[in-house]
Amino acid sequence: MSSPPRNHVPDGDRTTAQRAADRIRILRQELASEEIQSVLALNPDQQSRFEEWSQAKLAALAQQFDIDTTASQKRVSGAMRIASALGALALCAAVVLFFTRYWGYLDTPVQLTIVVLTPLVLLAATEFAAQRERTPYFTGLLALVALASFILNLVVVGSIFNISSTERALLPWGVFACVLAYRYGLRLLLALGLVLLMSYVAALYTAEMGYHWLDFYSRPEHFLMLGLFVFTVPFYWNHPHSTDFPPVYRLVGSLAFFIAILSLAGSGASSYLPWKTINVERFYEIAGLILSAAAIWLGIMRNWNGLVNTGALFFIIFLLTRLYHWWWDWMPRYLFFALIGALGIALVLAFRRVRGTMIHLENKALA
Amino acid sequence: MKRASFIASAVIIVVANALALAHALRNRVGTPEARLTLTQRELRYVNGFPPSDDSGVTLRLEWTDPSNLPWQRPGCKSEHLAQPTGTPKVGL
Repeated sequence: MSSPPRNHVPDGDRTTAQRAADRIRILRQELASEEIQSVLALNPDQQSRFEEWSQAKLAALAQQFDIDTTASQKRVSGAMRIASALGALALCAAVVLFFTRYWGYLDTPVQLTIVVLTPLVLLAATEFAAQRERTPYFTGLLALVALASFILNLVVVGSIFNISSTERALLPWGVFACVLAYRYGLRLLLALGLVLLMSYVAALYTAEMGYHWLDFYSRPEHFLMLGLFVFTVPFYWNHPHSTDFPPVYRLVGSLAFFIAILSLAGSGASSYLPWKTINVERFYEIAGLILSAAAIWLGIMRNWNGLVNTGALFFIIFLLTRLYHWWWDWMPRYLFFALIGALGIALVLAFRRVRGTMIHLENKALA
Repeated sequence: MKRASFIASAVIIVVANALALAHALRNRVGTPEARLTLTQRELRYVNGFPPSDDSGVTLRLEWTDPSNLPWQRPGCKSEHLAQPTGTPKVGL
């Protein structure tokens, strides 16, 4: 009891610091409540020591990571994230439209200089913003505009010199987005980079098979395999300094995986499976139902909220698709929707039962 | 080493542009295999859309594949097909 409270700021990223601050804030609130004080009353010395420690800890975390130490600050930060993303998208459109508006008046060397220098200048601006601010709002905004400028850059160079369109440009765009994402801790950039890299691999394989590379989306099984691969990346690649990146891998991977299955369930002709189209569609429909249910289960077991939500969304879509095929043609429309409603109620009851069982098991484990 | 990924980002931009320009240069050196003089009939000027927002100049090569004319396919009678009013277009 005699040792002074340590004011140690944990190593790690801003997300870890934010979680630590949230835990301290909740602990402070709970200890101040009358209900807790009735069973756990700190003496004045302990009370002052805890207050001193928690305030110093929150201040240190806020000082080092510029995190939110109150619920109001968190709400404002959420609004800032939305404003930053919308601002970045608007600026991307502005860059493209501004260049389109004036590029006809410029000579080729000037056009070339502008499109090559723009992403480099924006990259430098991103670095400058990252050094000036500890929160990633302006950094994220500038990084997204830098990526858009780099995409515009290669598109314009290809257009000026009439270079045949190939899938190769997707590779530097994807790598560039991922490098920026890891350098500045930007989840949106990571998601974009993963989508670009998945598209590159799918397009490369499509081109190797002799098709035009832009047909890469017409073979959804490419994305099924790539989505699965991206989903598994966090299993063998730890992210000690970017603890909020594994959910991005899981989200992008699971979305690609389930969208591919949904696409194959709707149009089996694009599958590699050597079966009749109708059999392929039925196979992927049933597989989608089972795998989305498995995703919900895995998400619950591992405490991955994003996977639970993605799995639930696709489970409902696959279920509705199956029911539509079964009932839509021979059933009155009102009865079809009434049955869907009844099914929804049944699902709520089933989930409540599962939840009750989980609470019972957790209580038993605690006891 | 703290700036390694920043430098890598810049290198990606520079290398991607260098490769694209080298490809364009390689395509332009040497003796052309053939020369073709085109008129406005084959090489049509296309206005940007909407014109006030696009100052670029686009030329579109209008071409026809003589080995794949629809009325020359076996089993097709010319009276069943209208004469083509347009031709496939390709960006230039």
